[in-house]
Amino acid sequence: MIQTINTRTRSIVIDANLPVSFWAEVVATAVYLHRRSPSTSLNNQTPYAVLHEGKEASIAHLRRIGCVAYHRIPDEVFSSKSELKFQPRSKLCMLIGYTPTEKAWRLWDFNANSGSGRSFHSSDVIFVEEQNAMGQDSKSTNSPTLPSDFLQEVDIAFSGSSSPGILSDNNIPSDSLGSLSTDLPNLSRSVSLGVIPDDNALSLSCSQGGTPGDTTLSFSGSQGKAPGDDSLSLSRSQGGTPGDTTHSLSGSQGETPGDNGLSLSRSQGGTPGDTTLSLSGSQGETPGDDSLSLSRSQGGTPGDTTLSLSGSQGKAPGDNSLSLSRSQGGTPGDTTLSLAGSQGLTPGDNTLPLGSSQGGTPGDDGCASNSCSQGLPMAPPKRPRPPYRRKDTRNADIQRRVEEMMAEDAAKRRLAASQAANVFAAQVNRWLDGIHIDDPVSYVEAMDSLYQHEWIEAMKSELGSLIENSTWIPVNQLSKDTQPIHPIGSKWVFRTKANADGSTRFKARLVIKGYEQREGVDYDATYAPVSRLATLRLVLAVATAYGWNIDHIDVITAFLNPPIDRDDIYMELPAGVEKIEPSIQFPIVRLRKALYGLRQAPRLWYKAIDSLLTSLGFEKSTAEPNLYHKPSLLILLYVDDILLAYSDPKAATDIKLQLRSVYKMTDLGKIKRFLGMEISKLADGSYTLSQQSYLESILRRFQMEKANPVSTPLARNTQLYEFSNDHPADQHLYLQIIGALMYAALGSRPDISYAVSALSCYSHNPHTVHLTAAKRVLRYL
Amino acid sequence: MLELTGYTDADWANNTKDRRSIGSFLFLLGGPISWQSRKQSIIATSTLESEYSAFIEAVKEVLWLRQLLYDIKTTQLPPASAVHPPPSPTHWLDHPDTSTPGYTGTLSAPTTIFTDSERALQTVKSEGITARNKHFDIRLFKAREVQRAGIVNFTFVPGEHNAADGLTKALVEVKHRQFLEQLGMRSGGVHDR
Repeated sequence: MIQTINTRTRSIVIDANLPVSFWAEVVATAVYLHRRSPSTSLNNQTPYAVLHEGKEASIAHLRRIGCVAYHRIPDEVFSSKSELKFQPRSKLCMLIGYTPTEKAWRLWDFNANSGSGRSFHSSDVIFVEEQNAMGQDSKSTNSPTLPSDFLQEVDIAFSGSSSPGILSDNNIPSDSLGSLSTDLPNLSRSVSLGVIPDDNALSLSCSQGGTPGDTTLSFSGSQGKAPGDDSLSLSRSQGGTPGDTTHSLSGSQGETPGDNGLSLSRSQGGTPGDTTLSLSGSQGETPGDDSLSLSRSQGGTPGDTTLSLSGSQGKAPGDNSLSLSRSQGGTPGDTTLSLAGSQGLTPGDNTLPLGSSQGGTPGDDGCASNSCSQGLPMAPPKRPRPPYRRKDTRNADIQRRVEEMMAEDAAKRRLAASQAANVFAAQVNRWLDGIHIDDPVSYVEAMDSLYQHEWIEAMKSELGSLIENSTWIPVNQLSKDTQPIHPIGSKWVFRTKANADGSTRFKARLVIKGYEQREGVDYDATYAPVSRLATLRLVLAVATAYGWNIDHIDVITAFLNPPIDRDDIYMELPAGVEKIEPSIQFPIVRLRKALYGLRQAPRLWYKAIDSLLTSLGFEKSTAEPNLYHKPSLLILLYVDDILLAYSDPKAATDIKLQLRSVYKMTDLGKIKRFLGMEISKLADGSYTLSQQSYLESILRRFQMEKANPVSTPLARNTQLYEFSNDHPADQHLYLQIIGALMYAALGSRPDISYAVSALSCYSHNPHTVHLTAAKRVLRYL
Repeated sequence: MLELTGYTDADWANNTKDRRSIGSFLFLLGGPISWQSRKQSIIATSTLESEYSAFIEAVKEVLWLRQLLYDIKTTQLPPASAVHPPPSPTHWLDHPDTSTPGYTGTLSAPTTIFTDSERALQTVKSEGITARNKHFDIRLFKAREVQRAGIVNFTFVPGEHNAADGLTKALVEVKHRQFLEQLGMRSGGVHDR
């Protein structure tokens, strides 16, 4: 182990031309890289993935150690605007490593500390990887370039490799090293193939943009050579299979032109042959697509891999699709999860056509890491990628033996961790739903359910209260001589609700099928004014200024109270009602009062409460029809919620009594929650408005509660409107996020107002950049 | 004392795709009570025009807010002194109310609306039409009307102190913190827990 690290350290020090005094930093970097390097003894997983249950670390940010790095000096450092204008905006530094806990690079500032230098973190860096910061032109240290005639040879081998089988062939000349330029129409880059001399492994490493093919090479002991710019190479570590190149490969191969998509397969649990077959099968399903299928199966059956692969390929419409699959548990569900997981570390995110499957996958673990890596100011893509020195291959043997022992231990840990995770996930699910029993969606289902008895009781109670409320007049029979009536249907809605003590309440509500109502026949006007949120805030501000209290009153079943404005609305009771309430003899009734679901119910309620408040001496505000006032009293309506602001408690009690004499109400006391917002009165008499629990719930809903927080809702200079090169995002998800954020922006978070309104402009056509930005807002909250 | 103040800002044609500007306003009454950040419906041909559009959105809002405050106040507050008759029930716009000087200053005095556009200010406070603003018509006249009627007092504030700044653009962290302070927002984001 120590030797592994030392070897790695030595290679980096030599490559970067660093003084030995940097050994500590480089060892840290070597460990960092080791954690992200696949190991044969871990079934070609990286130690990082093993520790994180298959979630791969991003390696998109890896850069060549020792290269020139320009650290962006933050504007805030400058004391004045003129200084900002004319001083250098970045500082020349050297890359010396990574920070394990932050999304940042460790840089060496030569001039700090009065010339002795200093290391620091920065996330805003531009790298010039072909330039060594210690003054040596690293190009001169390159391994000898290859004869050009070799390139053609590899070219043939490569373009002929439409079957994945060739990848496990050993018939590519050993000690062959090559690079070739492909004339990809849309992106020019070169492809290089490297084969390890022991002719056991083919090494292909691919990188597009500033992506990490190099890292793969540096540890795997393989020798991919990517001398050209924007090189694309595939790499396979020694004794292993090309799996680890999974990430790097994906970046560019998705855009391989022509019909021959590239398939790269690796299987450890299943038979390679089977996997190969099934892979080609799935590839055959998308002929003409520039598709890449990449599969990695461990312990799973090849069949599973096939399923997941073809599934995701089928989803990706049209051209340039990339499917990346990695199956570990063997079940398709697992595959989906790990598919999402590995997407997060796909390099070159910006150009990777992952949009559809990425956004659409629920439980997308990759979201966080994906957005993180995009949020980072990565170096622009298509950066020249210098080649890397190959390592002594004998080290790999030793490494393998050591890590075989590690793997056993890790496997045990992984099992324990995954068990714990399953238990946790189940708990979270239960908690999120808050409902332990699936609510039946129909009468038939309720009667079939385990809780049939409880549901019958609930329906009985509902019918009882409706009858007591004289909601309807029974129609005993339809007489033929009266004019024909059109009864409107009704149905049951069943809900279970958790009591505070943990027991479950069963509620059944009879609703009318308002959508069967015909305008002009069954209803005329439905408009009911709804209060603006600004009014609520204004009332809070005024109450603060005067030191008033605000009480919250909830009208129980408000919509059942108002008498109906016409006498020809008939309703047909749902089937089976006579079994529950024997007093009902004929299923058609004439409504006297409103019911939930009735189109005009909100309006009827508003008119009723309006006339009540007016009769109590309240005056309606001209600017806000839901605001009523009277000396030292204010009432704000929000449908069936009433806010009562008062200075004199006695006046408030009187009003409450008067209201209660007409409607059944619950006095909720001092206002605490209103429209999903928490309102609290501070010691100084001021009110605060917060949507904490709402925001927490939307973070949970989009699985962002664990994401790294950011300090601003929208990155400055985010070019939201330049997305022509970007890939479409899942519009459904996008709209959900924007909608959820919009309520927060309107309610209590003016600070995200701009971000949400800017992002909502793209609701009709969201792209990855917008989805990423929307997720950033979630991280900000 | 409770005072209603407004801020407006506009970001002219920053969107190169459709060249519409973002207009925003923010009203504080002890805390932020009303705000908007919205892509303007018109395509402004100059910063001035986009600032004007933002003015008008703010004016519409302030008229509503003042009406609301007026409604509350007429019944909430005893007249400051018996000398003054109670406010007449006619629309307050026609009778700028000066009866309760001790009150919030919200209605007796014009509502201050801050802008960081000096040129927009000059135009609203001057008479006449120039080549630059000849096409603003309704928006210009409305802004002048409310300024002259003593309902709104458009006032200059340097850009870095304009609280509506954060509603028209993405801010860097330092500025964003300033923005949160201006909003009176307390820390305690969801993630901080």
